[in-house]
Amino acid sequence: MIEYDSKRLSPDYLCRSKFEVITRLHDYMTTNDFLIDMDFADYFPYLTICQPTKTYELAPPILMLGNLSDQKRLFETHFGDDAFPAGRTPDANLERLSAAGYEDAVENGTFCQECEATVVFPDGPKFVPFLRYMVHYRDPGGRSLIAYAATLLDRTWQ
Amino acid sequence: MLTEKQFEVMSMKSRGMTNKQIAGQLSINESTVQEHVQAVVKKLGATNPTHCVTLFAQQRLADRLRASGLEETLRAFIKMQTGRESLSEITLDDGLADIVEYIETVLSEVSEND
Repeated sequence: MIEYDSKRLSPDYLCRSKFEVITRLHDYMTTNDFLIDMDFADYFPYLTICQPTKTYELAPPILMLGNLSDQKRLFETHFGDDAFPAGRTPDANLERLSAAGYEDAVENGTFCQECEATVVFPDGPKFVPFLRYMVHYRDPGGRSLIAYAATLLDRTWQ
Repeated sequence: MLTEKQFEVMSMKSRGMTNKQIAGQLSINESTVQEHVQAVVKKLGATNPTHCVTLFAQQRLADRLRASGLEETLRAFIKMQTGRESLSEITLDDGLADIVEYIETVLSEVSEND
């Protein structure tokens, strides 16, 4: 069984993609030189917000989770359960395997990747193909943060 | 300007605690809690204790956001949760107490990660 596989994509791929929210977010960020304003609120429900960390052995802890994000959909019954540390998904192995993308986003501004993973939930493993887009942005208040948008792919991995 | 005790009492009230719970936690009488609240009602020009808690929580939230370094991000979060554009529009019915508590948790995690 495939544990984790990925294919890095050019951000230009997004312009040809059907993932409208991610495409619009990419345009918004690049047009605004990665500095957000009040229009950011339009995208927030679809995002996960993380804080850059010093090292990336694991994905950075999640600070805020959008109500309409696919991460929320995927982990809804598990995210934030007492059994899991704050800001962490249920699958520590997945967090380790996916960590490098966050570092890449911080270094290069954006990162886009198609992935497939067998995510381990408390009630068993589940095969999850998804596309993830990360953008390193600045809040006018001074902090730099990572916005993460993902969309679950319902097709078979090619 | 609120006294330290008034600030403490109002912080607890804005997190949804009752006067009885606050009295227990601070080891003071419930009537003393009420006196603190009434004093703050006058200072803030509120119409009643509920309005007073709302004004205090809105102001506290605005101060915390400004000092956080991630004000616009948190405003986007608050808009998602309440549908409100401005902090001054958020009421206790919108879940203001929960939002204040959640923002405090987020800011505490941000500090730990620094």
